Amino acid sequence: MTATFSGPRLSRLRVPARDELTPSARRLADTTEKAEGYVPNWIEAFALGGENTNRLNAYLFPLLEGAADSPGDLTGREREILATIVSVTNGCSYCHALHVDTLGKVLEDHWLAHRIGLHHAEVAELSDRERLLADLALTLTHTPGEISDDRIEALRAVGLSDEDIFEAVQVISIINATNRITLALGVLPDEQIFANR
Amino acid sequence: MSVDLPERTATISRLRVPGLEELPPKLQHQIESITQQLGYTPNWIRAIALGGAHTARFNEYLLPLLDPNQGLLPYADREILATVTSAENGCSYCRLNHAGSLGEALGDSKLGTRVAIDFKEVRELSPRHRTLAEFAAKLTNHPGEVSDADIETLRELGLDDEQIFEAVHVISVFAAANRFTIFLQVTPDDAFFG
Repeated sequence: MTATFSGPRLSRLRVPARDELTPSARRLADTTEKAEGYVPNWIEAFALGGENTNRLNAYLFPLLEGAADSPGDLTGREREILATIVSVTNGCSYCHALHVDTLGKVLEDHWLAHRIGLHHAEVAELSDRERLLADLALTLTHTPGEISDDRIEALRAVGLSDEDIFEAVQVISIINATNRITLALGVLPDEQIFANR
Repeated sequence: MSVDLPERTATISRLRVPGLEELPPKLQHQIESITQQLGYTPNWIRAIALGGAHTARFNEYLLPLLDPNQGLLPYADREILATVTSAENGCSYCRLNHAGSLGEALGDSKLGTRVAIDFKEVRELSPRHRTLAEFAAKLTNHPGEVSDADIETLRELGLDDEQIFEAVHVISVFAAANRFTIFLQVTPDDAFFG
């Protein structure tokens, strides 16, 4: 008997059918499909989490996309740089591909986005403020207990308020969460992301 | 002989702690309801309130995962996951906090504290709790090494895929909550030492 390869699976856990989804999960799948032309695998895989996933998304999207009620004032570029660097450093290939692609759209420069994903320290185009935020993302991901008061002072010295700093901490921290969910599920990267890059 | 006493003037966070009146109504309400439940306002929620509306949405994700009256997994399972994740991340506030709540969930406060220090030394852990603890430690410390076999081990305990996902949500929300608390260096509550 020979084993046949049936193609890679989308998730290690069961993937619910579209008609099983809660109304807000179905809305997310529909609007994303309309905007992107397909439903990203993470949305299909995370749907098994039901209301918990809906509540995660309700927190995640305003944080990444910006919200009028946010006390912090990071730029969209800064938030997406943080999401990209955390995803790369956690070794989450799905999140890496997705956030580099989103960063490329935010920057309108996919070459720059890839270089930031590969090794941000080599990227001369980053501002001092972006570099300090990127360094914070690495430390808070790997060795969260090792951030000194001096590092916080340095962030304040480049013009970040305490609200801005905590917004950065939240972006870094929730991407540490979403990376772990994605890695636990083993979500398959979307073919569409690689089509033209 | 004089003793070098630590300064008692430290605030509860490394960043600014906003006044209650500054906060969005939803967050004020969450703080009131936790205060009512515990009999005091825990420092964590005052410290992370700096995130305003974002923090209110975070709490809406976090709190149901730890609610004894909700969830697909028994409350003690979820407390094991929260406690071990907090310990592996090295969050002293979260460890002390969950040592207490795990102790209550297990009906044994010494066991709660021992798990919060190092679950690997706790021989009394049931095979189910040990398996969950090991999964939490792996997903926390080496998320890229989680394999099909780890998921199979959870299924062999009798967990269905929805329950496994709930376990993943608990471990992951603590990957975030622990980082907030460690970064802010939230001062542990006096109640932890009562």
